[in-house]
Amino acid sequence: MSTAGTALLGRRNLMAAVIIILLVTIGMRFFQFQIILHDKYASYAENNSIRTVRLRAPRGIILDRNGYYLVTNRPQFNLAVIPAEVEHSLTELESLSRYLEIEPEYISNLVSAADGLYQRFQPVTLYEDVSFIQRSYIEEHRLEFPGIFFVDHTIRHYPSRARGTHVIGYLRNVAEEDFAEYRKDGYRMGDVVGFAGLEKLLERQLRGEEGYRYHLVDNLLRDLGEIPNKPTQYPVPGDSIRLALDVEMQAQGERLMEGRLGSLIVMEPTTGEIYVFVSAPDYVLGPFVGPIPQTLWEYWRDHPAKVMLNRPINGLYPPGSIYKLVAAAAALAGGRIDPAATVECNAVYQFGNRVFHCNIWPGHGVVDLKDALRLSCNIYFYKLIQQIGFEAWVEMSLMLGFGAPTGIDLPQESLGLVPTRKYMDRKYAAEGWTAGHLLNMVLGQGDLLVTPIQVVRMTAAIANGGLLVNPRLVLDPELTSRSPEAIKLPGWIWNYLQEAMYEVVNGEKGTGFRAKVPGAKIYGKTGTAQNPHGNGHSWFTGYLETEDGRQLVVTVLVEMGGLGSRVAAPLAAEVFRFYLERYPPAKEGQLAQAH
Amino acid sequence: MPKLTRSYTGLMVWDALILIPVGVLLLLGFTGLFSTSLAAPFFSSTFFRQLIWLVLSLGLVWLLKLISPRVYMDQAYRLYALMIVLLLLTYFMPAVSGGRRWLVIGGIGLQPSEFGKIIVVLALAKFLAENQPKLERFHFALLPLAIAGGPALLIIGQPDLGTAIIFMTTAFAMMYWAGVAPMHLFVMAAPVISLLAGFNFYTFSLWMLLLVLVLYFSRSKLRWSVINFVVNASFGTLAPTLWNKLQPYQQRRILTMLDATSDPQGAGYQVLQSRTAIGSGGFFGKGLGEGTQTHLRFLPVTDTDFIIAVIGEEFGFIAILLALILYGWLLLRMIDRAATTQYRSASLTIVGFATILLVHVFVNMGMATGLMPVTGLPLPFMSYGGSFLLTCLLMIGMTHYILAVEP
Repeated sequence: MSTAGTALLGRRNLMAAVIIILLVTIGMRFFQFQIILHDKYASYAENNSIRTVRLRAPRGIILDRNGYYLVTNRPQFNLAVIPAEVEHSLTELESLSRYLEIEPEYISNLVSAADGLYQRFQPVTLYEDVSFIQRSYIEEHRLEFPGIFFVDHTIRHYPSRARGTHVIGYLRNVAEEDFAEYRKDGYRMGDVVGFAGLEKLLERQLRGEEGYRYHLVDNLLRDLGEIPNKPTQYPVPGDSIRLALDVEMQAQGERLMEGRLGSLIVMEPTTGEIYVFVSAPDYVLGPFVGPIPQTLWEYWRDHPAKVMLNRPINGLYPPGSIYKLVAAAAALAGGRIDPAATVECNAVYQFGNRVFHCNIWPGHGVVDLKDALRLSCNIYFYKLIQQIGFEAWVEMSLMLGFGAPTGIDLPQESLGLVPTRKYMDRKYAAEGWTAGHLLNMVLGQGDLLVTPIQVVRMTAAIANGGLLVNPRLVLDPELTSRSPEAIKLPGWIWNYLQEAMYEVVNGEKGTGFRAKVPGAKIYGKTGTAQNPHGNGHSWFTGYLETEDGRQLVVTVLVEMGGLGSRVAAPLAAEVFRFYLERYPPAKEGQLAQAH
Repeated sequence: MPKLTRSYTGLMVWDALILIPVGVLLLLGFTGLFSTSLAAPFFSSTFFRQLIWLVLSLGLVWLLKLISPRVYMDQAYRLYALMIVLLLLTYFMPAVSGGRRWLVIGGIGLQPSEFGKIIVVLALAKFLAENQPKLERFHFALLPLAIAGGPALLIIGQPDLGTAIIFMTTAFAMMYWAGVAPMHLFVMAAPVISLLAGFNFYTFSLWMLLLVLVLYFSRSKLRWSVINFVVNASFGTLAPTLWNKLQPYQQRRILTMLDATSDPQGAGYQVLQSRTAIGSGGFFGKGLGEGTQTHLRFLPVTDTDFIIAVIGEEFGFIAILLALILYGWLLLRMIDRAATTQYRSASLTIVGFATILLVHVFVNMGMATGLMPVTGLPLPFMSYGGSFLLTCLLMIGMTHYILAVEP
């Protein structure tokens, strides 16, 4: 008994040791998780049960110069259901199709497709952008459709009569292919981002800051409502942007260009503020709200009239006779010619073995520089270019801002092309080039290419006496503008050009007479750029000077419109007239009072 | 030690040192179930149902005193035969969630394997007590292994690996208690270790080296040593083949033990969520009903397998510590009483019960923390489950009645 007892005691001790070791092991394991790794697991548990709901910031709205809405936001209501909640009432749900004009099967198919363990509890959108009438109808019969609810988003809304398509631009979803690029700025897949025009350029200002709301979810990701002790961070809406555009004038401009191809731009020459910016043809931005439907985007992109081309800044055209202003400026600046010296134009000019013609038979007779600009006489300029030479012409082109970006606040502006001697040597290396090319170029044809906005800028420089401004669509100069640049030319040259442009509109047989507005001081220059594909491009560029000293540049280009004097000039007159109506000059008396 | 022959009076003061830990553990378990039942209607909640089971179990334990322990201890072999029949019957029952563990009689589901735990202990105790002198022989000592192994094989087929493991570990502990030579136990357990070690070449080589050293220093006969070595070597080599015969879920559960993050939606997912629940509880816990892991249902099978994770999350490390102390207290007290009791079979029975409880506690709590594979073993006195609660309380009751037989 005693030996057995001792043996048993030994076994008892070993058993007790095993019990203690095993329980202490478990205890240490719990200690490890609950004390040492507590923080880590506490955050795991939190991440498990908290879902962060992003609250999208309303995008900044866009106003015109007078505070009228050009782009706003509106709520979009999407009809959604939680599949798990409506699985047994599909028949009732199908009758929704009556109000939504969709196939009944479409609804039940959508619901039954979400059959995964998690998907069953995630909302499924049945219909996007339910109209107000549809919505009131559904709300009225709400009891017949258990489990439905509306999800609201904000989307772009264009309440203005003016479209401003190419100014505003549009939005696009951040897609897989460019996700990497946007990701660093905090975008996620499916977010909207400005993709063209000001929506793109001002993305940072318009975007705003998103907010967050914290929801409790269970293991099936079912939403159990907000977490009371984690307050919502509300989104900060994007900045409102005020444009220099005048919606009424913009709308008029769009109406004038209806059915035509081309550009119509109105700008204040001293500030660069753009009142009207039309690229025709354009399209309605309405369907582009939020994400653009891919098919629609492709339709416009592939449209034969190049609808998506932003003509004022990306259209490349020969400027035609309006470029005679550049040659004139070059001649005056170099002091190579006496502006009073005359040339006899008899409609024909023999150069080498080629014959060049003037635009009117039997010619303009004896003309000086001012006459030549007024009548747009080619012969005079053929002779002039030979006197001043290629380099002086190129230099003046560059000084007036051609071949360079204007600095307008839109993305991806084209540069145009001012051919230099080097360029010509390279291009015509094989057959060689001659002064004959120059005769062509001085008339604004040949290799020379300009954008309409460059023409606007040059016109503004003449009007304001030599200041090369940066055209701008956004009113607040701090957002986009660079400082204007003064062109180093003596003041009398600007005066000379101004007088010449006044003569074009108001002088005898001046080509721009159709731009005349009774009682207003209009300056201008017409151009008809030859076009191998059909009628010439019809140009008019000019400006108005009001009695109270305000100026307004208008540049019109109608592709293949024919004569500048016949097509473009009358359109400009309409614009001048409307501007004077909207912003009538102050009476003498009022001015006196103001002083 | 004399055999259990004295007449049974059924009169004795309950051992408070056993009752107190059991009572507090039950209380802790019911607090956990109360929390998981918060969302459910009271009368269909697991809390209420477990309460019914508790009342029923206590009643049965009280009724048990009418039967002399001598009866069920003497009739252990017959009970054993009945158990085998019942286990076989489960194979003809419809499967419930992938297993055939249940015997449904009149709408009430019973798990014969649960009560089988008691019966196997009784049968082993009887066998070991009656054949003590012969146990010195190795071949004879293999018989108790067969007594546990038979039903264990049937239970593996259910499939319920956890309970089968319980049977085998209990047999080992009781054999050790009965005085089977430790060397013999080592040799018996060695093939299992070889089997597990066989999956890793280096582990297996190390184990084989250890085996050779033990055999050498134990001064066994050469023939005996060679047989041993060959058996173990072949077990280790055959292990991968046997592995492929396991149920995929068993394979997965074992693999999950090695790396809980490898299978986040399967068993590893459960362990990860259980660890998260426990770890996030910290020292004092989140409070009753405040456990997000529990109440947002990230934690699986909260009522049964992972009740300790619920307690760990809501009541913290302090509650875990309390539970471990209570289990330690209860088990040490049982071993103590077993060591001092006069009757060999009574002593062995109590040690068997203690071992069953210990393995359940270790495997269940180890599983909740990723220390052990997910075997589905419930936690004594705490997990929801009628059969198991009754089994545990019957073991405590029997321990008391057996001790009452003392002079």
